[in-house]
Amino acid sequence: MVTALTIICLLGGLFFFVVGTVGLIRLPDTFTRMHATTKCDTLGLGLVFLGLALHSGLTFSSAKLGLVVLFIWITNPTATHVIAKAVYDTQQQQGGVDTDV
Amino acid sequence: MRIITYLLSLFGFWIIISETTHWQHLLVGGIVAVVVALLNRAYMIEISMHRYQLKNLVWIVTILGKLIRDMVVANFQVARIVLSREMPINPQVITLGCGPLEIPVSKTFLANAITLTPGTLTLDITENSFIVHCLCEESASNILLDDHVEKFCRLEGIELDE
Repeated sequence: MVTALTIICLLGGLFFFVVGTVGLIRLPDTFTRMHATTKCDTLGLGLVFLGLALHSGLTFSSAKLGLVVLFIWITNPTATHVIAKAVYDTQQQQGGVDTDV
Repeated sequence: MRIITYLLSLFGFWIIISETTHWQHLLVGGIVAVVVALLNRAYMIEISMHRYQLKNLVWIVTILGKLIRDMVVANFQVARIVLSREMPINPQVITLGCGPLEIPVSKTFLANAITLTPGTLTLDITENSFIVHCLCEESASNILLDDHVEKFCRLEGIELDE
């Protein structure tokens, strides 16, 4: 039962990672591409973490995994924000919103 | 007081990372935690947490629950957009007011929550508004910022005008 849940969670996580990667390739510019990649880090990583935590139960490994997820959920928006702000400010300086960055 | 909080979180981090409660590990961890805490004394950020009222702590739980639900919904939306053949995107930059929030921690948390929700991306924070990039109108309407702002106001103990 637990194994089945683990497999379901891992497959779901993998699905969102695949969708994020496809989006990264298909979408046209910097901002929209970043939209696609946030998906990997939120639900993709969350589901993978859930699956692995179910697999190992209430152990130190699960706590470690939780810490990893916590730190990624803090660093991901920070890095995304820095990149987005850099692109946005550059566009503002050049005048007009040029989407082909 | 701040240094003790810092020390305890460092020590907890050490225990989780070392995966053991053997007394030798705990001793080494304790010594390292004290040294690190003392060395970083000057860099500790003054987080004005004292204004957060503890009795309103239950709001944090509701905020997190709502955030996770929003994230799941938005994830499926963006997945549908990306996987559909014609990709119905309509990127746009919108400005959202963040109400009477004062504590930088709340604003940071809110901005990060917006960025973590797929389909929306915080570009900049000004004095009292967020500049947000959206993938399409649907994701823009998804944020429901007012709801979050209201909860954070309660957390900060700000009286709402309503």
